[in-house]
Amino acid sequence: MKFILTGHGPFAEGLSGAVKMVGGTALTCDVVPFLDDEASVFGKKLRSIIREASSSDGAVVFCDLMGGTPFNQAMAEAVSFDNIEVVAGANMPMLLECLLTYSPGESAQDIARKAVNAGRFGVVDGKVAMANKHDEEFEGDGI
Amino acid sequence: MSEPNILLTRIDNRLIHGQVGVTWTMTLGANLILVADDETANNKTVQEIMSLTAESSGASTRFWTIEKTINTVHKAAPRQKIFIVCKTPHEARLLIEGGVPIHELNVGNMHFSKGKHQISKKVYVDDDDLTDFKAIEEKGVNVFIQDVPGDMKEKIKY
Repeated sequence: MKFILTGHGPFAEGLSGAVKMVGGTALTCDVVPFLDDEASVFGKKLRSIIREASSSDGAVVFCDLMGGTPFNQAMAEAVSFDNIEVVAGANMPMLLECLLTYSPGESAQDIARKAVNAGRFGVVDGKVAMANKHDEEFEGDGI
Repeated sequence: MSEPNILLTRIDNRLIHGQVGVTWTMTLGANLILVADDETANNKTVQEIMSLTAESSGASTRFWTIEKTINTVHKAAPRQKIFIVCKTPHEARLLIEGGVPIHELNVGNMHFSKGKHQISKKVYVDDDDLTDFKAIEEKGVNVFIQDVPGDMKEKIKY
């Protein structure tokens, strides 16, 4: 299963570096940045990486922004393959959850669903979260 | 009574933060992070902030003094998979000598301060620290330096 990370400018490299800092250097993604001076070749490059992944276990392509060029190019290729999913709005909680809890055998759809969930739940107003926190009670034995 | 299921104990100056609350907890499959630290046990604000971090991994948190940990941890239910975090090797040693069944001790972050020398990328120690580590290892505990899972494990060199 490939984890492909793409986005505008330094987004993909930046997010990839941050993920490795928190999650460990073993958490690698295929990073495909969309840079100004590579605009003409980016689409071909991304699509060929996706095609290659589709011929083995598949891939999830994490993009920065729905409707941006990285997303559009990924979707254009993804529609042809059942084992390729595309998720936009990639963020740290999303990447960490998907990479840390990945188990072989998970489908691209499973991962994409997990990604959307984790990405959404990771967007938090700190003070609101603290105010809403209540002490948990648990039943039964234990500490 | 069966032994509490302590998956790992980690020494980390920062107690619960990204690498601990998310990465280590998820990798270990822990459902309970037990912060054994006298100072934190008395600071509600810090506790609230740290437990928010842990929430993203789905684990519950406990913030206990060293003494309470020693006296209470054996009451854990079998379903509780515990990850203990403390700040310094001295506290880890107190827990072990107090009878907390710790078999694996991970050395994560030990910050620089005057008088300490570096023994690994994130680990600075002085003679007192080394004395504590030696005492811990002599009790049969497996002590290893590892910042995040996947990094190479290192042993303490005396």
